[in-house]
Amino acid sequence: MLNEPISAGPSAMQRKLHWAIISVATLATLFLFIGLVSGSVVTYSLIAAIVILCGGLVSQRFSLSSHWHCAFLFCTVSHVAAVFLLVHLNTLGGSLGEHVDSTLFSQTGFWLCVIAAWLAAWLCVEHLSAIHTLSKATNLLLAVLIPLIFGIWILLLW
Amino acid sequence: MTLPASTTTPRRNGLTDSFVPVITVIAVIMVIWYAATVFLNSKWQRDVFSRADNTDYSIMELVAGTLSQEKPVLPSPHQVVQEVYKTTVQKKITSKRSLIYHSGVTLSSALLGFLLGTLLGIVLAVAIVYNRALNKSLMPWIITSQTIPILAVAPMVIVVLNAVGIQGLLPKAFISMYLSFFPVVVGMVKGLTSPDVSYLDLMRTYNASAAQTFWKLRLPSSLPYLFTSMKIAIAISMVGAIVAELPTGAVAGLGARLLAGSYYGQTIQIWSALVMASILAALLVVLVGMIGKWVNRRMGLAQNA
Repeated sequence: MLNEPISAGPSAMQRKLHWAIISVATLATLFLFIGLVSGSVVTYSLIAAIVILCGGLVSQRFSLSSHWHCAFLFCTVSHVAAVFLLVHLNTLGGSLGEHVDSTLFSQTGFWLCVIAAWLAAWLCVEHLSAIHTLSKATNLLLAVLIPLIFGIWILLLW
Repeated sequence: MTLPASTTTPRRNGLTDSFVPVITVIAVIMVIWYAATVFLNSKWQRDVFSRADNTDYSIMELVAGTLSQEKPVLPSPHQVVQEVYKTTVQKKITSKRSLIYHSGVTLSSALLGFLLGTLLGIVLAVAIVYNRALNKSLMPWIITSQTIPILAVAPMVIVVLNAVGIQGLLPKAFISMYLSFFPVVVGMVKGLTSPDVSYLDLMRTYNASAAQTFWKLRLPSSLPYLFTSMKIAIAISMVGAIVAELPTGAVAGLGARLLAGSYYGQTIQIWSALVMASILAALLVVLVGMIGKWVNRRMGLAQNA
């Protein structure tokens, strides 16, 4: 809440988000893998899903508690995944509807991957917002970076 | 023990206190308006006299002429009042020439936009207060959204919504909503964070849940802020509804009336629509203010309201 102190470690909300990313990315990977096996062209989406899943697992394995480290990890993961998802869309001619080979699995996998990437970006914003520093330069950087990432992800969803 | 005369509160007459300043301001505006009417319309009136070979006219004739032109640069207040009277009292409400009919059209989209804007504003404010990340990420975009001129956004919104089959009242209401949600968000965020830290600590010592803190402390504290914001929002939603009627080529509504007036150089029609819009906005603001006072009094938030 706005007029309450900030905690040093990850909050309950951030932990829930973390698990949500791992769960959704796992589902996306599974669906896309089935899609790939059944002949759909989902390579880029599958790479994106694996990147997000790896990011979530790395964060879990090494128990990252620093907001900076978590923010950096999820910022990288979400944006790399976004690039792969955009490349995937590009291979489909910009629209999922134009892809004749797409199955229910590959389409569901794609959207699950989008959700996982968005959650990863949101977790990055959550961690950046939780950083408490007295440095004016860092605060200025955060004041620009947080709305920028949020805005980029609104555009990406669009 | 009696108090000295200097410390006693002077007896106040509520009626005089509230009406005298208002009437004085209105009188000053009327004087300035009449002076501006004479000044701005005099050039055309001199042309009229010279074309009629009437060079021997008095000042009074000139003034009378400037105040009674059919298509003046600036209509006089009595011409506007006459037009408002003619198009409200002397016309059927269902008539396309009735200002009440046009006001009703604009009012419906303004009220729907205000309702949607208020709901959106409250939801966003609650989300912003309960999530620090949303405050830092969404709030700058909400502020930025209001720097975009509504005249630039309105045609795009109308075209996009028309393309997806949304026509009629809703596109206009969306533009009103776009304008009116902002003051509600800002006011509600301020209101929801207004409780003192000691009150929040007290709620924590009572082991109150987040929901209980919200319903019993944060929301009641935010109500005075909400109603103040809503007064701004309702006035601005009228502006939004009028602006939304301009790019659509609407045939009904105060905006359409303004547009038609500007096409045919009917300045009296334009001014009467403007006056009607401002009267409506003022009435709506007063109504919201009265509801706000009633709610605050019922909740014991404003003893002297």
